[in-house]
Amino acid sequence: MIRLKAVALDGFRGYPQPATFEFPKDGSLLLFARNGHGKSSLSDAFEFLVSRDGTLERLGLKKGPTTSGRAPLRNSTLPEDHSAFVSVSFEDGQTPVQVVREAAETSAGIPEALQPFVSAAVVPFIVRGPELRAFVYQTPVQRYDELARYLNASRLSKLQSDVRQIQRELNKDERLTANAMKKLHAEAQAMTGGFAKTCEKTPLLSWLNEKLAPASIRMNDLSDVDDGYGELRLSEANERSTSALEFARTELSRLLERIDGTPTVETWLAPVAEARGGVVTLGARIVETPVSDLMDAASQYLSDSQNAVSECPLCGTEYGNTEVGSREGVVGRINSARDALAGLRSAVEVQKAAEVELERLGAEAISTLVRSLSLAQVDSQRIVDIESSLRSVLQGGARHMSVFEERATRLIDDLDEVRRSRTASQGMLYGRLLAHADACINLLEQKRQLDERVRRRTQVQSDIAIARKYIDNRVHGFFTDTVDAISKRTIEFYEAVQKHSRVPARVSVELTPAENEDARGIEILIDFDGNPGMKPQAYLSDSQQHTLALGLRLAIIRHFNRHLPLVVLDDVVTSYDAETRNTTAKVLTSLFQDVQLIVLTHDDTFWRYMRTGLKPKQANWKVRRVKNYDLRFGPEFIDTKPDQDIVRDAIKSGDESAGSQARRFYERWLHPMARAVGARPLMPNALDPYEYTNRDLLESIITATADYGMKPRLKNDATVRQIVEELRDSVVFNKSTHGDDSQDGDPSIGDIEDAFESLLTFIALFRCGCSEAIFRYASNEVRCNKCGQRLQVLPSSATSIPA
Amino acid sequence: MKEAEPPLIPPSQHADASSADGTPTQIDATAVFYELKNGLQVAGVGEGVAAIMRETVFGDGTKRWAQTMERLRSVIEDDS
Repeated sequence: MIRLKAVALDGFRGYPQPATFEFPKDGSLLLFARNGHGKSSLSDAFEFLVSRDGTLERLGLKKGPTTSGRAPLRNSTLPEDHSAFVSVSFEDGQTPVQVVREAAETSAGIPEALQPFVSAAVVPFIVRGPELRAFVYQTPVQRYDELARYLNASRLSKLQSDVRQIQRELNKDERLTANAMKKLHAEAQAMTGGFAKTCEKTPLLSWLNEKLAPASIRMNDLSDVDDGYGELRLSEANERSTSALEFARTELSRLLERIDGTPTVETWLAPVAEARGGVVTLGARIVETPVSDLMDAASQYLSDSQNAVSECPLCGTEYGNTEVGSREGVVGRINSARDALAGLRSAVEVQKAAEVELERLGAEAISTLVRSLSLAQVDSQRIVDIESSLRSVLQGGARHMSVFEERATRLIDDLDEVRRSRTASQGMLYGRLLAHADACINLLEQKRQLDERVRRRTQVQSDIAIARKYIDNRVHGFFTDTVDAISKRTIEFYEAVQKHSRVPARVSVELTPAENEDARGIEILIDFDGNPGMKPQAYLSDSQQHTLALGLRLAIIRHFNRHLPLVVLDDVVTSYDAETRNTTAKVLTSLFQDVQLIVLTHDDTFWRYMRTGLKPKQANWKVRRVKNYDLRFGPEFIDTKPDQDIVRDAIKSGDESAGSQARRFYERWLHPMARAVGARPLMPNALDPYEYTNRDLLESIITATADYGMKPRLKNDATVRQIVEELRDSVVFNKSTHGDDSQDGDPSIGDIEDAFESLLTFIALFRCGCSEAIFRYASNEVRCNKCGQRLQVLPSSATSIPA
Repeated sequence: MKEAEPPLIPPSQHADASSADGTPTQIDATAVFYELKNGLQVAGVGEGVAAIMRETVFGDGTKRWAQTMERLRSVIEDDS
C-alpha cells in the first residue's frame, strides 16, 4: 500500500517558485483556487508523475496540430537555466520514498524510485470535470475494452474481438453462398421451364403440346391427360404416335407426382436428369416412323440389287440408279410385283390365268405401297389418287408397267421429301431437349458442389462458435467480480449524492451475459420512474449523468488502484446546483475515509460545504486556499492551519510531527514574504529542495530587506543578529520530517522549540505602523497590505508576534 | 521471435496475489491466453479448426484474423 506524504512543484506549470503540499497522517487536501491560479497545475503534476513519457496527455510528446510537446511543463517565466521539477514523498508499505522527476523537453523516463508509485496507478487517478463523462457515453464494447485494459486483459479482449471478426467473415461467406444458391435456384427455375411451371396449367399444356407436335397430336385441355386419351382424336395411321403419347403421358404423370411438394432445385432438376433418358427414348420413338422402315428396306434392296438389275424385266426398258434410298423401299415392293409379273409372263400361254394373277399381285403391290404411304403420313387424298392411278395402270396390263414404275418413282420422291422434313424438325427438337437436359444436369452438379461448400462452412462456423463460447465464458469470469464491485460502489455513490432527486432513478452497471451474441459489453442502464433498461442520457438530467459518471470513475479507481488509494478531483462539481454540491461534499468527506483525496475546486460554495463537512475530522485534511496569483511567484496561499499556537502545543506535547508543523509554519511565512520583498531563491539541488529552499529564501529575504532597515538592525541589534544566525542554522530541522531523525543527528524537540521562537521573533521584525503582517510588492517597494506603509525592519525590542 | 509458452497456471492462481483482499484486480493474461489456446479441442472445437486457430488467432501479428480466414477458406473451398 502506498500512502502519499507530500508533493512539491518547482518551476512546474503555474509554479515558478517551489510549493509543497503535505498530507499529514495519510490525509487529504482541499484546495480552493480561482481559474488560472495554479489549481490544475497540481493535478497536472500528478499526471506528469505517472506519465510514462514524462508529459501530459493534452500536451503530447512534441509539437503537432493539436499538441505542444513537453515545453509548457516548465513555467514560462523561469530563466533558461532553471529546470522544472515535481517531487513526491510517499511510503511504500513501511519504506519512505522521496523522488524528484524533472520535466525536461527530453524525457529521461520514470525514475526507478518512482516505479512503485507508477505501477500502483493501474487506472489514471486524476479526475477532471470535462473528461469525466466519457465512460458513460462510450459504447458497451468501448467500456469493456477500457476495463480489459485495467484488468490487464486487453490481449484476451482482442482475442474475443478476433473470433467475432472471423465469425463476421464466415457470415459474409454464408450470405454469398446463399446468394449463389438463390441465383442457382432462379437459373434452375428458368432452365427447367415446363418442369418448374407444372403447377401452372397453361405452360404445362404448352409444354406437352410442344412434345407431342411431331406426332401431330394436340391436346386442348389437361383433362385430356387426366381422363385418359380415349377422347383424343387419333387417326389409325398414328398408332406409333399414340404409343409415344402414352409414354409421354406416363412420364408426365410421374413428373407431376415428383414435383408435388416443395419445389427445390433437387425436385426440379433430379427428374430432369432422370427424364433425360426418357426424353431420349421419347424422341427416338417419335422419330421411329414407318419411313425408317422403308429406308432400311430400301437400303437393303439397293445393296442387293444394284448392278444386278439394270432394266425392267417386264419391258426391258433401262432405268437409271436411284438417288434416294427410300425409293428403294418402294422399288423393292415394286420388284416383288415385277417378279410376280415375270412369273406371269413366262406363263403367257395361260394368259387369262396370268392376267388374274397379275391383277392379284399388282393389287398386292399397290396395297403394300398404299400402306407404306399411309405410314409415311402422306396425305390420304393423295394416296387415294395414287392407288386409283396405279390400279388403272394395272388394268392396262404388262404394257403399262413402265408407266406404273414411273408413277411409283414419283411417289417415292414425294415420300423422301416428307421424310427429310420430318427428320429435320424432329432432330432439332430432340437436340434441344438433350441440350436442355444436359444444362439441367450441370446445374445439379453446381448445386451439389455448393451444398458441399455449405456443409464444410457450417462445420467451421460451428467450431468457431464453440471456440467463441469457450473463450467468452473463460474471459467473462474475470470481468464478473470487477463489474459487480464497480456497480455496487457506483450505485452507493449515486444514490447518496442524488438522494434529494424528485424522481429517483435506479442505476445498474452490468456485464453483457456471456451467452449473448456480443458478450463484449458493459451496459449502464437506469430504471427511471418505471422505465427500465433505459440509457442514462434518455432521462437523467445533466447533473444526474455527471453524478453517475463521477461515481463510476471513483469506483473504477478505487477498485483497481488498491495499492494507491489516491484520487485527484479537479473541478468535478461545476454542473451541480448548491444542493447537489452539498451532498457531494458530504459523500466525499464521509464515504472515502480509506482514500487520500485531493479536491481541487474554484467553486466557493462547494469549498465551504467541504469545509463544513470536514470539521469533525479536519485533522486528516489539509485545507488550503489560493488568495492571489502572481506571474513571477505563482499562487499565494492562505492556509488555515497550523497556527503558531498549535505548533507550540505540538512542540510542548512532544508530538513527533512538531518539527514538520514548525517547518510548515516557517515556510508559510517565508514564501509569501519572499514574494513580497521580491526575493527569489535559487534551487541548486533539486534532489533536496527543502533544505536549500528555506535557507536560501531566508538569505534572500535578509538581503532584499536591507533597504528597509535590515542592515542597521543586523549591525546594531544583537538580538536580531542572534535570531538570524539561529535561523540560518535552524534550516536543518527541515530534514526531520523527511528522514530518520536519530541517524542524522537531527535536533531534539528543544532545538525545534528554540528555533521556532526565534522564527516568531524574526517574523515580528517585519512590521508596519498598523501591525499588518502581510506585505505586498508594489512599485518596486514592499508596502503594508492594509495601510500601505512602507515595510520596516524594526528593532527587536519593539516587536511582538502578530496575531 | 516465437513466444515461449509458459506452463499452464490454474485459474485460481491467475489473480494478482498481492491484492489487498485477495480479489483479483488484474490477471495473468499470458497464462490465460495459453490455457485457452490449449483448451480448444477439449472444449469441443474440431481438430482442423482448432489447429488453424492455434497457429493464427493465438499466434503473433496484427492481422491474425485475416490469416485465420485465409486458412479457413481453404478448408471451406477444399483447396486440398
